Amino acid sequence: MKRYLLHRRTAVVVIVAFTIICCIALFIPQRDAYSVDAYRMWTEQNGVMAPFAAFLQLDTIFTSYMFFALVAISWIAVSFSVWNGLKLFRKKNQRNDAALIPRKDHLIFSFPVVSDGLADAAARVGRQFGFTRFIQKENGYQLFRNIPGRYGSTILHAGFVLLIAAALGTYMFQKKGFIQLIERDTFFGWQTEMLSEEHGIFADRFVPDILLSLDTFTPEYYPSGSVKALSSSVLSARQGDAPVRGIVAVNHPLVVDGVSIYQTTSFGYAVGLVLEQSGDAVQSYFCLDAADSLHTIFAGSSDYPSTEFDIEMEYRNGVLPQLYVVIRKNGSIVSSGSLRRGEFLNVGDGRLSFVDARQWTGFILTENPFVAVAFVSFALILAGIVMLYLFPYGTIDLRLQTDDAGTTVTVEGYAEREKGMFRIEYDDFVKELFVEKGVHRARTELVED
Amino acid sequence: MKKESIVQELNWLKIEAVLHWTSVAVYIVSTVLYAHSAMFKKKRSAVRALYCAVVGLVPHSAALIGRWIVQGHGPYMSRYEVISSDVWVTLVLFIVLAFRWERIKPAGMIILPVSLLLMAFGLLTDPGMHDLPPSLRSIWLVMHITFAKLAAGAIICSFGLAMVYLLRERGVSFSFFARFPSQDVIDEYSYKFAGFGLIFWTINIAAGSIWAEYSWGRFWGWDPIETWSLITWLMYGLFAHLRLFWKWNGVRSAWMLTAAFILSLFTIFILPFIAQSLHTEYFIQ
Repeated sequence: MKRYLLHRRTAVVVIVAFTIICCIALFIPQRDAYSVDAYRMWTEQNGVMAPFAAFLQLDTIFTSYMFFALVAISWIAVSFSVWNGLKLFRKKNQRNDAALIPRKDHLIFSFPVVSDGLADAAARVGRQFGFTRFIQKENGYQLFRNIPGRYGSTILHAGFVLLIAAALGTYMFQKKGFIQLIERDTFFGWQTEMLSEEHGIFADRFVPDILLSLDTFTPEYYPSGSVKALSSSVLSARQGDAPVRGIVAVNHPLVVDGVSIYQTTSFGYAVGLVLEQSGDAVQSYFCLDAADSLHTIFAGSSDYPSTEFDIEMEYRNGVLPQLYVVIRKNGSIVSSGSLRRGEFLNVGDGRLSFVDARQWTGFILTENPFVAVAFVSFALILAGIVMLYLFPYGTIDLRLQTDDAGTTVTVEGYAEREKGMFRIEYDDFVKELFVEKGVHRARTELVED
Repeated sequence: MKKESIVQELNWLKIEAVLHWTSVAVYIVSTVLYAHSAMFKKKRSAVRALYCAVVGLVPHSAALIGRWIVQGHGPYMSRYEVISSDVWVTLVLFIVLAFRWERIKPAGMIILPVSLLLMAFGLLTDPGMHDLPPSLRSIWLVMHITFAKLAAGAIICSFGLAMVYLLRERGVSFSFFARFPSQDVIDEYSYKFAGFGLIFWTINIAAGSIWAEYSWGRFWGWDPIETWSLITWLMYGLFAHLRLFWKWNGVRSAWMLTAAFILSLFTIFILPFIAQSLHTEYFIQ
């Protein structure tokens, strides 16, 4: 089993399988994707294919059994690879050959030489070519370049192990919710329902143990009128603690007791209305959305709580803010008019007062301890790839053989990658060594892979 | 919108068009010099071609820097500026490395015309400027875009060298090909550029994930752009495995890089403008 998981072919098969799954997701709209309309249109237009795709989980492919099976196989295989890499690392560090041993797959060149000063010459020439580490052996010398480059693959795969763990952890345990707050309104996480909430398959319902109060919401605009920045001044605290002031802005979340609070780009105005009728007064806030790109008009409609009325509102923000309302009962207009703050409109035998207008905005709350793990995995993956590509490992051995005829040095070079360019560098190294040692003629013996 | 800023923008667009088309004209001259070098075996023409490309970068850089100053953000909102900046990065990367590694200078014969065609295509799109929405105002976005462009540049260079390899393999006999190093060295340079591409693409994906986490509270959402970007990254990862373990050198490597390049073209230049996704919500067509 381990042999199959560690086999090179497995890596290729896994990568190809991942690619195929990603391609399927592009051609079959996903049910939980950003564009819900695209999925609905596709199911309507593909009456035969859609149920078949649903049966095979092709429309939720990234949470399907086959995808998780592939992830599991990948994770186990990459984990074995990392374990093997670490074992090899220990073995290489423990190996301490006293003498240089000829190895296959090396470039080899021999020439007679006077051994005096050979070590200095080899070290000097080696440094020119980036071989900065020099070791003396029983029968010669060894030069190394980019030793860390040998471990790039292990570090890269270790990053993958962490990334898959972070992704699975997020899927299983992340909690997420969306809330809407009006200025000077407070969200008590332990008792207030969120507008929407989702949690991982093994997580409990998201009930954050924090309070969040929106003090002021501040949108900034470009000269063209489009939105430039959004930020909220908030008070937040864990249950029982004193609230602390903080700022939540787009791309600048606030973290409170492990709960991350993100500023969304949804905002508008909430108008406060009081409907007085037959001695009762019903006050309610209605959140209106921007109706134009310049965010000067905010509109919305709703039924008026605890009454039989429906109300349509249009709030114009400006120097003199004004609210236009249309009140209906059973579809017929009962009353309509334009109000400034403090003014009222007669509605049947009662009246509707416009008492307040405040801004509202949305926040996303999440709880996910695996984000840090994901970021660490990115760093490891990047480090591994950089080591693999920018620090190709290479070694040059100089074996000395002394007999009656004199001393012969055999120069052996080896690189794990970029063998074609290494061959050129190796040839240049040998030529430089020739020049250093003043050798004019050589007995050549070129043996390769 | 204030009248002064509209007038400023319109004035700048005129200047920018002149600068961009000037750089295109200089790149054309550079391409012609490369062709002259190839056909008449004039080594000096190849050197002049490279210096000409450097000269072309001057108005090109001025156009991009000016646009950045006038609109207040980098060139990553519209197709016009995205393509122009991608070409700029490709040429800077190639020129810097060509001065560093003499042997790849002749590859400009492929890289210049490819860049030129891309740039001309980009200049025919809408040059209008657009404000940066709140979600896109982040240093991680700048890193994400920068490394996406560097990756695109490295991938284009890798493809150019792969094309040279394939043309020589097929016996296409331009005399200037003789000035390239041996086939196995060309093969390894194309692999090296692909390696740069993979490194930059990795940073691109990581920076994008970090930005998504800070912006939307999730570091990955299987958005079409994210997914296709992952597919491109996996293709280059597959290339690395095939090369390392199955010795896919030479012709197979060159064809693999060609396929990966086509895929990356789709990811970078086509998908952002056709896919419905949260990722592309703010990108203008």
